[in-house]
Amino acid sequence: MSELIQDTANRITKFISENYSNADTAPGSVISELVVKLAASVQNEQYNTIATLSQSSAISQALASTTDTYSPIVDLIASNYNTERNKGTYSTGNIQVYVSYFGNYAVPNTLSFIQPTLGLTYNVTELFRISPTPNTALGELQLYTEGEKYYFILPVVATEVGYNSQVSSGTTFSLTETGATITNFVSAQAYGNFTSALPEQTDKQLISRFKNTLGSTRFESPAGIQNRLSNIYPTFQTLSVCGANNIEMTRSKNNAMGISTFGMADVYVRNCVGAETYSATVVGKKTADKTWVLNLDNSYCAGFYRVFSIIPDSAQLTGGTFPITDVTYGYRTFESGINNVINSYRDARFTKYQTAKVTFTYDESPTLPIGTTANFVVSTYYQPHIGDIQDLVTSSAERLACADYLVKAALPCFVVLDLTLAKANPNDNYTSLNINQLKQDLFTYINTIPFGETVHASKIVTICHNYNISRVELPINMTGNILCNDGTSLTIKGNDYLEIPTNIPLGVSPKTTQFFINYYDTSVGGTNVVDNIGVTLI
Amino acid sequence: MAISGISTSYSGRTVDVSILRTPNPKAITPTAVAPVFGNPSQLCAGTQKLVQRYTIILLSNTNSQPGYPDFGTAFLKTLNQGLSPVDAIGARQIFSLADYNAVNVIQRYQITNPTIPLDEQLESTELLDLTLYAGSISFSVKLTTLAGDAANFLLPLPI
Repeated sequence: MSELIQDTANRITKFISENYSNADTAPGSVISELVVKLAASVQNEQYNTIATLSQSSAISQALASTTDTYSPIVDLIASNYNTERNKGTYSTGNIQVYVSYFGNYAVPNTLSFIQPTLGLTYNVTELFRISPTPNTALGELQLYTEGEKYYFILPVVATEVGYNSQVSSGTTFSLTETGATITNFVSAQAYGNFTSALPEQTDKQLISRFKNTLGSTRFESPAGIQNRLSNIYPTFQTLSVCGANNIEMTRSKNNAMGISTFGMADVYVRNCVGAETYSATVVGKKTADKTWVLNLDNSYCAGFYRVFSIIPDSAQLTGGTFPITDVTYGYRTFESGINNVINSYRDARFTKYQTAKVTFTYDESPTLPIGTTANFVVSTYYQPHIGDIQDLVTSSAERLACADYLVKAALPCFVVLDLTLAKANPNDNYTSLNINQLKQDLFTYINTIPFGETVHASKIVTICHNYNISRVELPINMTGNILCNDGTSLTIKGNDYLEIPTNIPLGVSPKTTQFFINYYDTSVGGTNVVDNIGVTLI
Repeated sequence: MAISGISTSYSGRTVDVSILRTPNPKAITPTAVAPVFGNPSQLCAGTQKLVQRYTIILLSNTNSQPGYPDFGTAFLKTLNQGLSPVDAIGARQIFSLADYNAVNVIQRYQITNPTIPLDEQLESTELLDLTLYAGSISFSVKLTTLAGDAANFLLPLPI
């Protein structure tokens, strides 16, 4: 039980009066001002720290709190378990900046971009020089040519920690009105999905973490795997383990009898809030007129979801993102080390064994002969650490010798919401109702739904009513697009709820699939952008 | 005479550490009061203790004590903001406001502690005179106890 500083002073005054009855402790006396009050200010802090350090009160208060709390006392308790509060991480990403002039540019580190609809701001972290013929040894960036347009790609970092700052590829940006500018600036957009970020850990999350450190971190149980991955990867979200008795486990039944042989488990993980972007240079080959092919080997990007961008990476070739005409998925095991049992490309989809052959259209100029090879920057959506986690569970020091754990990125179900909100005040608008924040709240809700649960319209309505609206028009249109293990996609719709179906041949079930939502969908191409969290005010 | 009625016996009284050393009970003219540390220990009681309490409260800036933002007055802080060498009226106003607060603190304590000897209870204070110099000011104050004793002392302060 903590006490006020006056309570402490009264306690000290009483002690002095009882033990030194001739000491004057009246206000203004030297004993009061230089002894009692000074002692009280020191003792009060210590007294209250000790009182609150009583673990039962600090932890139970934090767990019972209906709001997020960030008590320094819980930090002190956590330190006893060698655990520190995660102060949050910033989302990072690249912004593609279009300019109207072909030449050299200098971008100051004071430059900021803002996503005007969401109100999110991102800063350039250092000074960059951009040139058509960059000196890469000095860190200069390339100015690319795309038809009659020119662009360069700037790394940026969000100004605030938290899930909300992760925007998807193609999200448009403006330069902030008060910050530095870029000469000949035309437009800017996200180049690839930004990385997942984390909010500051709440007391409840911190308590859960240091309790986890006391639990098992071995791989013999889902809880142990969860604990282990939580401790290693800060952005780790959740996992689902499908073993011998789960219908989702088909790898173990690939025998003449079709009977599970036990010992195998598929571990579906979610390491990030939203899908992130991976880019690397890959050699492409011209196979026919305007047709090029890329082979993405298993070393390209473990468990990637899908390729979304291919752009030339050489001074001789120009052009923007090329249309992909076909993707054929395959797999390849590794020559050294322990491999999992993989029977087909479907088993390998979203794992570190996955490969892909990508065919795309490129009408290069001047026309090159068939058989020509060239470098292309290939960008994909993916979850980080899939390969690392697979290596961890199959490493000699960690693996369960009798088990075959195959780590997979959870199948993504990309959600689109269409909301109509009735205004409580006819003068309200998008800004006054703070719809930016509402979208960020919905983004966090959808992206943090655990395995096995559904998107509930009632929960969305509840979130909407945190804002000053009259009502949410029903029905709410919810659509999900699931990437399946055969390269196809499955669309689901709902008004009251959005539930992951069970389709074992396609690898889809509530135990294998996670909901993802991006603010925008730019995959439609061109200048078209679909608002994935559409909000209409009436 | 700085303090009237100095023949009282102070045995059995509560005492405070004397950091002002003044006013000297036997001095003929008012002496300046100022905190002094480092001299041989002394205790004080009676009117001298009351003068010390009054001075400490008057000269403590509000917000200067952690946990006690209301303790003290704005007297020194206001004076340090600057005062014209001819603005005696302004100086009196500043003193009056601060004096009111200091007297209030002492008299409120007296109400809740009625057993305090009368010569340690404050009846009133009065600004007898002030002298303004370039860079300093001196207040001549008269403090009267409920026992009827009076003490005159000077408060020389920088401005």
